Amino acid sequence: MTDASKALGKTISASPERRLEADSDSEVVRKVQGGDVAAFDQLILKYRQRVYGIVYNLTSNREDASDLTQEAFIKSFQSIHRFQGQSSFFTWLYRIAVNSTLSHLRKSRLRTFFSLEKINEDDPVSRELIAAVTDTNGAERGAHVRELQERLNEALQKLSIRHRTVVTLFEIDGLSHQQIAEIMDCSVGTVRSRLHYAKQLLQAELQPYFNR
Amino acid sequence: MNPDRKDPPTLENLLRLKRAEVPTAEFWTRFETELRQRQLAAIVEKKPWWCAFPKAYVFTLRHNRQIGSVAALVVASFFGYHEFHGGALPGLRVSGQAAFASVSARQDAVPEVAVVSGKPAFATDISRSASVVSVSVASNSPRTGFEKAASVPEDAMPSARLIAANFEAAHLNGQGSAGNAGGFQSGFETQTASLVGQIDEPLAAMTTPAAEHRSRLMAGAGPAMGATSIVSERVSERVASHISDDRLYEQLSRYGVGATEVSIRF
Repeated sequence: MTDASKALGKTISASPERRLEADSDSEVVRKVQGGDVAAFDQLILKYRQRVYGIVYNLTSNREDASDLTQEAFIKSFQSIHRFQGQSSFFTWLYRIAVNSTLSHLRKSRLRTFFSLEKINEDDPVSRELIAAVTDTNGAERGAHVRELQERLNEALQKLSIRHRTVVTLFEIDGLSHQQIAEIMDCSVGTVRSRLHYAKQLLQAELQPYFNR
Repeated sequence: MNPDRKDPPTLENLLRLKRAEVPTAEFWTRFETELRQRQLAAIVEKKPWWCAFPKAYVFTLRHNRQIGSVAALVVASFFGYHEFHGGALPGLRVSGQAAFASVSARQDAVPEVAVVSGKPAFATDISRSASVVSVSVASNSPRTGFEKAASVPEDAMPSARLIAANFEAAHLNGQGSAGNAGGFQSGFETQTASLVGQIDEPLAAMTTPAAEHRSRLMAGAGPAMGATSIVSERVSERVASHISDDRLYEQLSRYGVGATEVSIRF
């Protein structure tokens, strides 16, 4: 990707809310760079859930996700003096987390253990989604949801690391193509292509459950 | 059947449901504690010594000019200091019995130098090839049969060793020239005196301008210094015959050195 297209992409993706968020982040980052270590806690509190979410959805293991999230924060804390503000802090932090996770997944490619979080059914959006994907009521619904969750994670783990990352970042974390391209250091076209291919594979893998 | 379900489940819905897989509040409490511990450990952690190498490499790449300049300055200062104070350089220390002449010459004698044993050597190869060099001094036999022999002390200046090595080479050169003296008298054409077999390394016969200058100065100070002085053969001849500087340089320009031969212009 050329510099011009990168710059164009950044301009397009920089919505006012995101710009505000980036500005407030850069202020905190400057404080940390100036020696205010406690200011880093603000960044941890703000992004820990999102970082944990991406790592968890990539690994499908809550213990690994916890370790890797902590590692990502420690790494970003240690190298925050090198952060020059060329991208937003959020993108930079995500890149650190994704790279750490990919490195971990490459090392432990042959052993995959699922350790899944429980779906929060108190949330109305979740309840609606559960109702949409299951055709049972009562006690059976919980078991069905659990089974669907496991099948989905299995199907995700069958994808290559790159395809899994794109699907996770786009469909679960809701990042834009441009942001994913920045995090994964590839073009927007590559992101779209990978996303399309990954969804095709997932669809094929989960087809029996959709047809029930 | 679920009465709420209107459409068949989709992949997007299923993936969105993963957003609801969130950890509990206890998890975040434990997470925060562990992260705090790791953060503190990262602050006080002492990095292993080899971690400094990549940083040093990057620093060197960024500041290579400045580092090069400083290193050159330090090396030049080091050599200059040792040269000025006459200290022996570790890299040029003569091994074993290596010694050079502390020429003991009589005051009334013209100091002449000849090499009795040893091989010509470059200044940088002193420690390797100049194993034993004895220098004799006599008053009546310019190039042969010197009676008084002495050796240069081990802590002699490097320049003294260089001069002694040059003495040796020059002496061999002189022997070669003397052997062809008959031929030299036949005319003023340039003649080549083949020294193959007499001098292993032709370049050993060369002296640096700085060494010549130093030798000349020392020759001038030789009589005042008494018995101990180091002089070169050429300078000694010049002192003996009182030749002028111009003539001396003219003589020097007559000598040429090739890869395997030395040419002398008459």
